[in-house]
Amino acid sequence: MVKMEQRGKPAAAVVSGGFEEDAAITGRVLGLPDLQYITVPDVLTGLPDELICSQVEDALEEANEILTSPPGAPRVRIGEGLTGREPAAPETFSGEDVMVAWEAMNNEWLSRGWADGFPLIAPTPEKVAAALRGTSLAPDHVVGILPPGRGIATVEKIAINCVMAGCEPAHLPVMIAAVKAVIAVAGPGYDMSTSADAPLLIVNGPIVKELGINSERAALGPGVQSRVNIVLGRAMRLIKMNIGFNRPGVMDMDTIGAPTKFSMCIGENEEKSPWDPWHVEHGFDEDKSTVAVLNIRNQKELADMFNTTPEGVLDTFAFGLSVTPEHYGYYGRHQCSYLLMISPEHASILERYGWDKESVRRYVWHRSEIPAARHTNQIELMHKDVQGKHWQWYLNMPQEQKERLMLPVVETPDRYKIVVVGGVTGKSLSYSFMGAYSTTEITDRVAV
Amino acid sequence: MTDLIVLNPEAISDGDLNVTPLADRPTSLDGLRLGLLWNDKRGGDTALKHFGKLFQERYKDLTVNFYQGPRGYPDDLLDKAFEENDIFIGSTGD
Repeated sequence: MVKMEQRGKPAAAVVSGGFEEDAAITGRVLGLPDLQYITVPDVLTGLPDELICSQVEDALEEANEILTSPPGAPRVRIGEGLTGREPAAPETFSGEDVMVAWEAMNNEWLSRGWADGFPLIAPTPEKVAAALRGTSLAPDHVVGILPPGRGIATVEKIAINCVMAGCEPAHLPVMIAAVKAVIAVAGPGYDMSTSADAPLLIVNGPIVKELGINSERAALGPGVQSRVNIVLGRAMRLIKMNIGFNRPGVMDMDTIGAPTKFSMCIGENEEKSPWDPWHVEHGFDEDKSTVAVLNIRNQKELADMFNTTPEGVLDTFAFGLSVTPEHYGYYGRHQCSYLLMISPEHASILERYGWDKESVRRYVWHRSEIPAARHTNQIELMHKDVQGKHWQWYLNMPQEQKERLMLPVVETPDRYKIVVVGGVTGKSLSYSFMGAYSTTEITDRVAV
Repeated sequence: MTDLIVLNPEAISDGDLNVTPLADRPTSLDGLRLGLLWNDKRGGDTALKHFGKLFQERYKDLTVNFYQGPRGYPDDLLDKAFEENDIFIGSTGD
């Protein structure tokens, strides 16, 4: 709708109740702060047709006015302070002592939507200046425009958020590369989903050891061994909130949420991997350092401490993967991918029998077949135009064939991505993820 | 009293630097072409088509054209819809 208005023709968006502010902010960040929208009370996806029509009839006068009258004042006043207009102007908090002032800063910034809920490290000019010494890039260098809020990601803004997360100066280049990785694949509505998507950082190359990023036991866990992982993952969350304006309820319409959204970062355990590490598989030289950002969703532990053959272990994987409901509805099977975080113990079993990554992918793909009817639980209910894209061949099939048909849970074997991480135990982990991802080289580092 | 000086973590949104006003509105939809843009989410098509039907009952010679997403609406779809219509209603989100 925004593009039509910007090209000179009137338009209105149909918006469900509860999404008004999201729509208004979206209009604003796309350069159309007066975006007009027609409100229907309920989210339409779960309503029967007669209720949808009834809500449309109730909204008709509003729609008519929007399309035929000069626009009035916006009905939702977009919260000033929800999207920044000023550069990094210093702000002063005062108190009886520095702790009182710091608490005041935390309370105020939390209320503005600038915080993840945990206490923030104060981004003082001195700490930000120190952080900026971790890169050779100028503070006003623009790394890119970060969706969904189209925030201008300068090196300084990234550094401020890194300080708030607890990062050290040497961490800044990782986060600059991570922002580049997100921007490389992020379209206009990136990460505004009603699903619980969360950014996972996968770091590879010499920087893993240099920075002390945990690639071994409890790499995704709390505590001192994962301190660097935690602050890097947290920095990504704060950057998404304060540069990408990806905030819960406003441009992040996640229905329930997930703890994964606070911080997700691993290093690959390259020493324990029998295969080329992630970054080499993605076209980088082994001595380069990289970060990849995947928007992960469902977690599933793939535990097997009994089987000692590739087939046995991977059958366990395939069973686990085939009961994740990610792929059952909508376009799932055609858009869903899985990251397999394979533990060193499972990797060593696969290595012992000479299985490469491609063999693992193909075996898991073949063995994760489920009855087609489970895939189509929601497909039969979809509009025919949607069905036709991917499922018309199935819908045309005789019933007895449908009942016998088995299908892998994802469309192709390359939908399985592999990284080796963790301690030596027969516990691997998988995450589903939707959409594209990018792996980006970490550059412009300065020894500090 | 002790002062704590801190720096603002919020970016400037590119949208705030490139603001476009709304297009002029017609006073009536008589004889116009109404484009309905569906983002592929269930129920949106039903709502849009019903808007189209009700507006056709209200306005004389209103033509209604329906377009199917996907979400994000690719440029070629938007170009086609822009050429074929005078005014638009679209579905967003869920």
